[in-house]
Amino acid sequence: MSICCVAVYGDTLDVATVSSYKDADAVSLSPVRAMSHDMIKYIGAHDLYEVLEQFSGVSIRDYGGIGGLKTVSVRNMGASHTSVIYDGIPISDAQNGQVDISRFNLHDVSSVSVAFGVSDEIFCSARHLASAGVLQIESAKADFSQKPMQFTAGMTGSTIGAFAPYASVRCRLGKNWVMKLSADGMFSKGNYPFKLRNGDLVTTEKRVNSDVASVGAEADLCADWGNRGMLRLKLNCHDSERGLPGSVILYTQNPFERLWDKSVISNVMYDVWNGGQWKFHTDIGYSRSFNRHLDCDPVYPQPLDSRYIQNEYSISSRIMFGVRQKWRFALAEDCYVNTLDSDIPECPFPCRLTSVTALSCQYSGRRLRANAFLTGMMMTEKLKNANKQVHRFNLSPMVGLNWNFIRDYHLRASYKKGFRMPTFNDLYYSRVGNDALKPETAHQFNLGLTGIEDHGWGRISMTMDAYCNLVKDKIIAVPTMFIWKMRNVSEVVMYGSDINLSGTFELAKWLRMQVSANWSLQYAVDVTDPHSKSYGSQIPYTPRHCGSGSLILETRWANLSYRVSAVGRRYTKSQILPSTMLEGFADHCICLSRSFNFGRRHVYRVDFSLEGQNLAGTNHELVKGYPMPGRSLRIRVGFNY
Amino acid sequence: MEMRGIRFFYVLVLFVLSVACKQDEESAEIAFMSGRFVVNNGNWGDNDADVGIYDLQRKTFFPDMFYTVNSRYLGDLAQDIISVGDDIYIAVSGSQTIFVTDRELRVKKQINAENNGVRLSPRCFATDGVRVYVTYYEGYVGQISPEDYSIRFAQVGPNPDGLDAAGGKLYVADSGGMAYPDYNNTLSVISIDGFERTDIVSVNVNPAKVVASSDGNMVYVFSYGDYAAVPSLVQALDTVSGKLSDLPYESVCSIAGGKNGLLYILCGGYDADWNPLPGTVFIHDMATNTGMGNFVTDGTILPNAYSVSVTSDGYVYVGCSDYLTTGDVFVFTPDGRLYDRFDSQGLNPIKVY
Repeated sequence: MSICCVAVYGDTLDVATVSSYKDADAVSLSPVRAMSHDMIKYIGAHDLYEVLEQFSGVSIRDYGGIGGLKTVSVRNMGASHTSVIYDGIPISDAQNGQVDISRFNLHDVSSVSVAFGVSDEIFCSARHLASAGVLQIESAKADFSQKPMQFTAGMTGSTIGAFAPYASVRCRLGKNWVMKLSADGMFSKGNYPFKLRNGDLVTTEKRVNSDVASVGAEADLCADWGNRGMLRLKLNCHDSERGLPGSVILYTQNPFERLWDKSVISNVMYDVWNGGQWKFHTDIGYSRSFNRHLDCDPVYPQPLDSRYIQNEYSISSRIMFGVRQKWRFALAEDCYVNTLDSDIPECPFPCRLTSVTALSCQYSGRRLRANAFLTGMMMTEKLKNANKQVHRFNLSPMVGLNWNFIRDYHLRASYKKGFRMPTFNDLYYSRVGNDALKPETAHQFNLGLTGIEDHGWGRISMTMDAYCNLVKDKIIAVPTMFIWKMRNVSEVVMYGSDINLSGTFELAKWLRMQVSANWSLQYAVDVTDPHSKSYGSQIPYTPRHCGSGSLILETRWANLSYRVSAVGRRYTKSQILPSTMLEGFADHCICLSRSFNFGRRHVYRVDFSLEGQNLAGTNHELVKGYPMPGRSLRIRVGFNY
Repeated sequence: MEMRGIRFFYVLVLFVLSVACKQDEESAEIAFMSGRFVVNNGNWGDNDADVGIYDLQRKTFFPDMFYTVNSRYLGDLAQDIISVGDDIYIAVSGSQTIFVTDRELRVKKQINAENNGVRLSPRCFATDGVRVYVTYYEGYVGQISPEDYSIRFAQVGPNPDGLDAAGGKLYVADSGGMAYPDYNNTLSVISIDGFERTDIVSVNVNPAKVVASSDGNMVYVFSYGDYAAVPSLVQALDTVSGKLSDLPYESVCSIAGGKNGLLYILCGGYDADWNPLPGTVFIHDMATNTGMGNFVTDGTILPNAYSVSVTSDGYVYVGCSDYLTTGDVFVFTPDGRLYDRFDSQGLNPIKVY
């Protein structure tokens, strides 16, 4: 959390202890995985999921290939328990509860972080406090120390036929204002080959109906008046069209589905801190998203063509007292209204008003830091055509401690009762929805040990966490006589551990090495019904073991990196059977990059990078039936002024 | 001495294992001759359908026999199975294919049907003893030639599901099950001679299964309803007078017709919290259209009842499934006593044949 504040508010309070992004995890109350812009560049990541794969305890569901839907969950609690914040703006989806992260690319990103459990920062918006995980994406800040205008443009191309151009321009307007305009795109036919195994029969097939075309544009205007505050205006638009390839079916490949997404996000935020005891933030936002789903399968008498429009109006404020004190208190209030319009039959046109209030307190002593929060969420829902009003309420306490017991070694402990409210689809989707649903709750306990060893020859940091999560009233679809109904029936217990090790070593004047290795162990079992055949089985898509690692060699001439992410055996259903097993895999990538500076005072820079992706060439599946592309080569060229 | 003892022990273990394997193979062979085919529908998109063999005499189940015999998977969503002569036909609807095998499930032919450039998804089978008829969910009924497995198509209503043949006619349930919220409500009648639709009869919404009495005078239609206001229903159609009547069974989930002239009606339902209630099987005399009460006579409880099948020897199989874990099959003797119960080792045991 402190990272976010560093980037957004330029606040220097907690920064003294956070010397680098990696070390944020070593001093936080709950685990925080983070990666900076440089690191992202060195490991050759282009898409957000490539960074998230490197974070232990973070898992991704990837519905295939290049433009496929990707969702992220922390410690396998489900994507609906993860909030996504982009430059301080919440990205939400009241209809599905899951945010598709495939829309984010990394060319203009300064940092990516995922925080689990209790927030490190008490001066933060209330609505995300109850999420099990918070994914934050911060876009790059301009540096005008050398020139009044900056320009970046580039292009990424891959041998599997994907192209992604981008451009951005930043300029200073007058003394206080800064403007940024950026645009990016992503185009691919997505028809990459894959190996299909059917018993003894192995054939090479091509993915069909997997094309994607997506464009995005953003305008960002920032004013900084010092003690009188900071104002930020942002407008982000995104438009995409893609084919949905569906899962690979034996003996036939006949996908007929297409998806169109358009979204606009706008936000105005104002921050003020006069250097004294008070700090204040407020923002208002409006976002609108349009989805069209078309299914031309000939089994339908008419093609299914459904459109959904979601609106969100939000207002959020927070105030902190005791900015320079050991004890600090904050009060945050978020209000937002979500609406859903659709042309599908029986759409009840829900309109939901949510109010989240968070009262928090922080103690920062010399050796001990502690945060405590109490979050209350109230929700009122009106249905246009049912003349019905529904109220929901949830209270969620959380507390976190960090004790610096010796040198740079810390012990941390936290508890949080998180929850997720049922989504519009859970409640009202034709035939399946159930408006009697309660919120799904997740009790999270975390205990960790972190340490940093910093010496002349290098720096080693390590974190070890053990956790226990209990997910209750899990909202799942349950079959009734003929149709499925959403119900609060499932219960899951999870025990696990995440271990991260990283080191930076100055091997020579011209050679620096960065190594990191992460490993997660998770035992997550279904404890719903002792009479069920799935009782005590590892929950679907949850490997017992997974890990990742990276090695970066920085030299004066070029940078070389290697990264791997490995996922163990998983099961696609709640019952452990040979037919539900997905074998584990390891995804290896290498990247060679180099920058050239030229021009007067080196104002121009050209970046080249060459990446070998998925070197093992496995068509591994993150979701059953959705094979990933095999071996490929990716080239990136970027120009900076 | 000790070493020797260990060696002897290993040899003994190996011997026992090899005997056990051989016995397994042999029993599978015997099972092919006298066994019943158990079709696991599988989960949509998972290619996990299969056919197992249940040996009734020895109460033994051999799962995944299609894969064991052919070293390849059956595919996605097996819907129905039927035999004519020495051929077994398996409809795999998600994979849009029909496998024709011999009695030991060895694949003889794979039928991938196309009509007007559209690949077709097979659903259910019926036979007149000579040919096999199949419904294609895209709106056709196919007549499969037993010689070269070529298909002749007849157009019917939307999303035809169950069908039956009797008295020189085919009765096809035009479910319109994909036309939510306006499901279809017709039964197509096809004359086998000309192989075209000769009549359309209105029935309850979303008809799914058809069972005709052996003389073809009575046709029983099970329909899902609209899953909301219109309930599921079994209706009796007197093909002589054309009269349609509703039978008094509630929360019907499936029906099956026996060679003994009895219709087996599986009823389920759920409580206010959407918990499924145990299933009940009723029997109904098809020729006289009269109810004969509860089939199960020993009080066996059928949780998550999902499908009902009756084999030619009058044994009744109730498939139970929660759609998430492997199913259970309850085997009943013709007089309604529980004979055996086994795990189908696959998702959704949809049919025993």
